[in-house]
Formats: sequence, C-alpha cells, structure tokens
Amino acid sequence: MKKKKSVPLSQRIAYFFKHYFVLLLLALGCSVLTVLLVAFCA
Amino acid sequence: MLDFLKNIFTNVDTKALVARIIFAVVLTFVYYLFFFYAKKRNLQLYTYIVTGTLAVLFALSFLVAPQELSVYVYLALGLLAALGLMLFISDINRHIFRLSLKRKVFRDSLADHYGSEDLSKSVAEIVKSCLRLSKTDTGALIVLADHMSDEILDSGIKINSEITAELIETLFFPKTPLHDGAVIITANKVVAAGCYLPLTQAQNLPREFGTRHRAAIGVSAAFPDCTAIVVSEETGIISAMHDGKIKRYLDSRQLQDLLDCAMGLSDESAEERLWGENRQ
Repeated sequence: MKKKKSVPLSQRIAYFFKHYFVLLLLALGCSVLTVLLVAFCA
Repeated sequence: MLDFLKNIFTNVDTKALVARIIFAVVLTFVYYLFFFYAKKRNLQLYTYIVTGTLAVLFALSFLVAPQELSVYVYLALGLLAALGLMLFISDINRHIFRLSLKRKVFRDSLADHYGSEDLSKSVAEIVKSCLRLSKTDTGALIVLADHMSDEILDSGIKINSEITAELIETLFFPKTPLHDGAVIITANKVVAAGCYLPLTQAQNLPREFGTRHRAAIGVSAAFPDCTAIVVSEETGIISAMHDGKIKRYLDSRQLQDLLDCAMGLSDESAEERLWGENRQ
C-alpha cells in the first residue's frame, strides 16, 4: 500500500509532551521512591 | 529514614551509587511502560494504586524501623509488579509482535508500487461493493492490511486479483464455498478469500455482534496496520474495526474516509481524527 505521510518530528515531540510527559515524571518519581525504599530496607 | 536520606550521598561508595542509578533508570522504564498501558487501557486506577502505595510506604519509612518495613516493601513491590504484568501482558505481547512486524514491512515494502489513482479506484470499488452487499443484507468481512500473516492467508484460498466490486460481491455470495471467511486485501490486490481470523474474547460487545464482527475485532487488535470492514448479514449495517476500535453505522462517505486512511491515501492526522488519539 502507499506509504503514509509522516508527521514532523516537532509535532511528535509536542504530542508526547502533551500526553505522556506527566506519566514519565510520575514513573521517575516512583522509581526514585522504590530505590530509596529498597536501599533503606536492605 | 531522615538519617538515611542525609547520608545517602556521603556514606555510599561509587559502585553502589552507580548500581542504584542504573536500577532507577530501569525501574523508570518499567513504571513508564505500565503507566503508559494503564492510560491506553483506561485503567488509571493502577497508576493511582502504585503511586499511593509507594507514597504510603515512604511515609511509613519515617516511623517504622527498616527491618520491620522490608517485608511490606518487598511484598507490595511484588504484588504491584504481578498486578501490572497480569493486566498488561497482552499489550506487551502485542507491542513486541508489532515491532517484529514493522521490521518485516520495512524489508519487503510494496509501498511505492502503486499510485494514488490505483488506490483511489480500489477504494471506490470496495465502497461500491459494501453498499450493494449492505442493501441485500449479505454478510461480508474485508480486511485491508499492509501485511498479513501466512497462517491466516493459508487458511483461505489465494486469489491475487485486482480489486473490483463484482469480485468482492461474488466472493460473499451466500452458499458459495468462500463466502463464510474473510477477504484479505494487501498491496492493492485481493490476495485471499475464505480466510479464518482470530476471534476476540472481549465480553463487552453489543449482543448483535456475531462471529464475523468478533473476527474483525480480533484481527484488527492483532495486526496494527489493519482495518476490517464488516457488513452485517442480519441488519446490513456497515462497521469498521481498527486497532480493536469499532465504528458502526457507516455511510458511503465515512466508509470512503476510513478506506482512504487504511490505504494510506490520507495522512496520520486524518487517522487520528477518524479513530481517536489513542493509537497503539
């Protein structure tokens, strides 16, 4: 089939920030908490 | 915990610190993956449970001694990981499958062999056949895909013919040997007919959805680039499935837009507009 026209990189980045950046921050926060807890309990 | 936090960067050797940083990066990726799937599946409750549990455990660490807390920490982490895997293992499998599929499509891409005119003509033929089948309440299942697994193609009869409305209508004519399976359209050709597709096991589907609709949802969920068109035998309603999502009561205009999108005649923003933002 014909190849789809691709979306520019800037738009992809904007889309990511709009929808998924909060999730990334949340994941980062959770992983830091987990590392701290595991290190504290070890 | 307070003392632990104060001494975290002083009382620890470099190797342990590096190990912790690597551990944190890997964990971030895992958490992000789970949260990402939770958002896609509209299961944000999982995200809230994970963040809530970690916050509670972190707060407890200021009150309870590490020896007592460790049991709860490991138990909670194990349970959260197990819950995440149970909920999202099918999505993870699907994504891994898609990655392998993308490589295949890149390798033997048939993309540029057809002009827009050929594809538009094919779209018009499919629309025409669907409308005629709908008028006569003839059941039909057409799958448009960039790539289809050999297993599915081998379950039917290879045809490799030009797309014409007459051919599609003939293939779905009742009481003929091929009418009960799916017609597969790949690379601007009717490649096979009478193919058997994987059925979805979803429970929350409308009652009037029979095997044909279930097969369409199943195949659209399994193959990311595929769009399945169903004409209901009972009602003549035309529906389309893509990525596990369903559009019903399609008229000729809507069907044409969806087929344009499936054939790559419109850009990705049109796909988002037609099928919603949560593309997988």
